[in-house]
Amino acid sequence: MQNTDFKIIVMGGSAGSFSVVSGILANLNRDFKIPIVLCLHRLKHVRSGLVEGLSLKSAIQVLEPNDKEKLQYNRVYLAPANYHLFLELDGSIALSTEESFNHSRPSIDHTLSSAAYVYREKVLGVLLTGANKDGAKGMKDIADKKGFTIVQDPATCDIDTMPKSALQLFDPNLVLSPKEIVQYLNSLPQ
Amino acid sequence: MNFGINDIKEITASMAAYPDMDYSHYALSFLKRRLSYLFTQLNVRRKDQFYEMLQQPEFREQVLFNMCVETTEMFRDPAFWRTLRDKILGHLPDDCQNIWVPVAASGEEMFSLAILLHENKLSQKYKIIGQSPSAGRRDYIQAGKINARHHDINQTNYKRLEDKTAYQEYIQRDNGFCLLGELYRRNIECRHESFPTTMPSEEGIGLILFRNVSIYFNQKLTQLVFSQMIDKLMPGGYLVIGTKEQLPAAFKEALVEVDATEKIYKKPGFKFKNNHAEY
Repeated sequence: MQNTDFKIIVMGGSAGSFSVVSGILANLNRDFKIPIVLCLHRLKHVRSGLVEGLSLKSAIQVLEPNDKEKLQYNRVYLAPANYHLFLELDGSIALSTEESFNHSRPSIDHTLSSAAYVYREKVLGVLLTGANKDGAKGMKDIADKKGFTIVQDPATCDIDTMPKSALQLFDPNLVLSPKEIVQYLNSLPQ
Repeated sequence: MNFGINDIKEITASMAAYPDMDYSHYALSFLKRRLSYLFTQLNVRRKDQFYEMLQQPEFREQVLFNMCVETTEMFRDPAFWRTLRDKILGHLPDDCQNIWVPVAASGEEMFSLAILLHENKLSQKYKIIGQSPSAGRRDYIQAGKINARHHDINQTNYKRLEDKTAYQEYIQRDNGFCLLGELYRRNIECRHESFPTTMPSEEGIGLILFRNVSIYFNQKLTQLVFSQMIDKLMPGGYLVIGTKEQLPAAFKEALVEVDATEKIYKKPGFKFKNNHAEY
């Protein structure tokens, strides 16, 4: 039986995934407790706008964390522009200005892999539409640690490079449309 | 290589036996990936091989060189540099002589500041003191070297800050490197020293740039470095941290927030000007 007692949800997508992410956050239950960490490819030099845009419709609070900030229930944490975002063993967030990875900072692989290392089977990873392979390796790391993995159905993606790269690396637990992803998340025990 | 917690503790303990190599109070997630990066860069396959090689000073220098995280961009966060130029540089304490960059992994932070000082005719007034635990890094910075791969983003950041294209005038090309012209780095002094073990002997430090450094430290080391920097900063001087860093709660009384977005803080104090005390 697959564990559904998740401590964290990590979600990755490229810049084009904004509308998908926005739709998911808008349709989550308002009392959705599990912290969600979002790592989206974004312009390095544009520091504001994305969190405000996602907040417009989101059912729960969206924020850009500071370094060493502790995760809290009922929050969405968006990786800041030009920083990698990692998870620490003490339940906090660690930011970094280290080298770009997969031409990206923030890198989805970095965030997902660190979540896999810290939370193991207690992490749910979601990979959405995207234009490069960043995130595929991180999702495999989650699967290797017995975490739960959902990949957006490539047929529902504007650009399917990212989900297809993941599907070439491993077999996720579920391949779902954005609407089905929302339904699954809302069905989780809180 | 993939290191577990016990591996990391063992490796950092072995490193700490040598001068300026105590990384035991760095953040665990940083050490996990940086040590992996280090072993790959230096072609080390086993821990015992690493410990043996650590006995060689040349190898230790390579370790120090690779443990440093480069700043990656000139004028990173152009909005910060605009704020520094417009709101801070003209208001440094009268007797400020020095600007301090405690951890200079690469030259971008110091070079950006040097260009800003030059453009505001302040180069003669302030010395920029940097410290790097790696002699190689120190030499790299002192020679004005900038990673050529970042030339385009550096130029773009400058244009976002200054709305002009003068960046090219400051930079020379040499053997695959970009170099900050000698004229613009005369007031830069980068030392082969490790902060917080060693502090600059100079007084009159009116501005400290410490952006995106404490993100690699744990709470204990963060407390220590802030304590030392605030102690060294002259009254009326400014301390800058990264836009996503937090000033530790213990020091919120010691500094006044000047700009919440750019994370610029001022050390209170008073000075006499025209027979009046100014706070």
